Amino acid sequence: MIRDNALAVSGLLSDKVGGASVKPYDLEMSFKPMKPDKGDLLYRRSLYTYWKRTGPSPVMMTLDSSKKDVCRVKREETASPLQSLVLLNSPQFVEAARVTAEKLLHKHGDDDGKIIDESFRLLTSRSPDNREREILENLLNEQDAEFSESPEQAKAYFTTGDKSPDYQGEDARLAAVTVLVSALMNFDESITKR
Amino acid sequence: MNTRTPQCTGFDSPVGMSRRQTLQSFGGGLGGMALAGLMGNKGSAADGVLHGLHHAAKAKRVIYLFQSGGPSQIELFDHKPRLVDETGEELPDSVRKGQRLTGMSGNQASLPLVGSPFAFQQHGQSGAWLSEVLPNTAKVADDITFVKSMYTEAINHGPGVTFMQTGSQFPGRPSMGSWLSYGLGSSNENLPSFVVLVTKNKGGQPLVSRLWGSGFLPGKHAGVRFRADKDAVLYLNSPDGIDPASRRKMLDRLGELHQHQLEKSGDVELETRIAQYEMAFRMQASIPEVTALENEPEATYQLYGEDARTPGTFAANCLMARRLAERGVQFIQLYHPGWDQHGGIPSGIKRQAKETDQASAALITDLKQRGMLDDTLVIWGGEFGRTNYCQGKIKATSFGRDHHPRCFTMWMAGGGVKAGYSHGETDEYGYNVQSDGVHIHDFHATVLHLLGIDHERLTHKYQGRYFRLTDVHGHVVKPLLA
Repeated sequence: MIRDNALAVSGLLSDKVGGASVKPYDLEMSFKPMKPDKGDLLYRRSLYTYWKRTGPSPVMMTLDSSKKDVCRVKREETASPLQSLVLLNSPQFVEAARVTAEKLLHKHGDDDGKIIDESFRLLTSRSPDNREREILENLLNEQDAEFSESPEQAKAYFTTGDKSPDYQGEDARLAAVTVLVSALMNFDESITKR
Repeated sequence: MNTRTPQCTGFDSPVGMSRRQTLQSFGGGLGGMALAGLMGNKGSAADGVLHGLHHAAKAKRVIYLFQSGGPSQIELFDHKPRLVDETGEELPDSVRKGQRLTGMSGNQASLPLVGSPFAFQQHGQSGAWLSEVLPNTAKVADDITFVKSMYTEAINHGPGVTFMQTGSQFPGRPSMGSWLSYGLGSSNENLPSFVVLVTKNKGGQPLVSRLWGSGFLPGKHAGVRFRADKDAVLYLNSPDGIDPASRRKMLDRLGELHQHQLEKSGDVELETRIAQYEMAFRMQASIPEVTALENEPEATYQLYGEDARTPGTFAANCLMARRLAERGVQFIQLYHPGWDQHGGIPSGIKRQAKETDQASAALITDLKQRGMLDDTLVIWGGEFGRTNYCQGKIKATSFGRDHHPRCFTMWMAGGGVKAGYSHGETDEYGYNVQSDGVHIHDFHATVLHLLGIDHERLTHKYQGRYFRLTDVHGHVVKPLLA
């Protein structure tokens, strides 16, 4: 769900139904490494992820997917730092954040307020309050300043993922909005049902 | 930190914290409580499900050097001159007693006995017999307890390794390290409490990730495999273009969002979320620090061998194990595959011994020098032994041995076991246990005992009944205890 949601928000999610199993990025990091797929096959619902019993998807294992070797009547609630690392650093989420950022920039251009409001709503299903807006504005400004100072860092940031960047504006701006979306993808309200 | 008391209602989850408990212990320090929910718990044993040890622990941590494939006890530890004398003669029925054999040698017309091609000598004050292929282990023989009378029921690798790691031949039970994490919590807030290191680029019988899985216990108790590449832990490194300063700024803002949420909702689970991200950030620094073997002095490499300079070798993993132990990791599980010599014993054993002997002995020496051997239990062994007869035909310079569950040798050192001791004996053909047999369940019970845990009282309810590592079996092997 968490992965599917990130893909859906970015618009990357493939809506194809049925078919053979697919290999997303993380299977390359499995205990039995497999070569990931290309193109659309990277963005299918997690339901279609190839399952190798001796080395299952490491992202799914980290996020406490049921292991298929023991019976489970309910999913566990967990919070481990290893999960944070997946959401912060794995190519699937980094790419989805960037593609979401491109979408928001195409739609709202220079309007930070609208970008913050829409990204927040996309990921939490509600509008931010004033304090949340303020925090996110600060985040956006800080990151913009960071990447403006080192544009090569921004370029490097866009190399993650199979899909190449689709944005003609300033690199620093796209990088900063990507960090904004990434932060929101890690926000408790985006990933937890309370 | 948290002041949870044992529950008597029987309805509260023994793991994690319910909202009610959390609120009740609100005054106990939020940060600490939040941490307690992560990767096992912080601080003393009181933070695990056991709320304390059953008795004083001799071992505070375990380094388990698993030798996967079934190392031949006859070529390494269990000196059997009679096999050498009677090489080529048939395995007597009076010894085999109709026991089942695997499909690989069970239909052989002849089962010719075969002796070790390697010379054996006694070593140290204790006079332990060891093969010439283990010259370094021989030097530390006086620190070791050899158990020559191990036995199991498993006859093939999958069930065999699963049995050794989880106490059951069937998949689905928690690994030893998971039980420990569940029972005792964690003593380190920057590193996982159960770390797994697998020798890289080894063929042989395949391992599977569920061997260090948590089975029916919560996923946070599963072993965390450290890889021998730049991402030691899955997606440890920030993506290209994100430096630590930028990441820090982002996490600060994310923390503000969570803090604001906490103030609005009063849901203290958000403290856990904040701590989770802070710990992830710390791990981005602490894991590269512990895996930076290149900072070790020259003397370390003389001790462990040149192999230790190559990431992912058994030697490098032994060195890493010592560094993890120093930093409070409780259960460090190594796997070294390649011991499945159905053929080519002489060269195969030499190769495997060369890869493991020096570093295994170095680990004992190193821990001893640092004063850590006393409370670190080092375990060396595989899932079963090998037959005293040849699989296939004996050739001039080569032969093989099939799987043999009836007897095999393991060794342990430090952590409250006797130094310079040998336990149990096999018959003179090296086929059956003759005295003081130690079953896998007994081994598990003994390891838990050394860790201060009564194996009958570390349980988890699942599918309507209580399970333990030893399930309904196992006796502590008292003669092994120092």
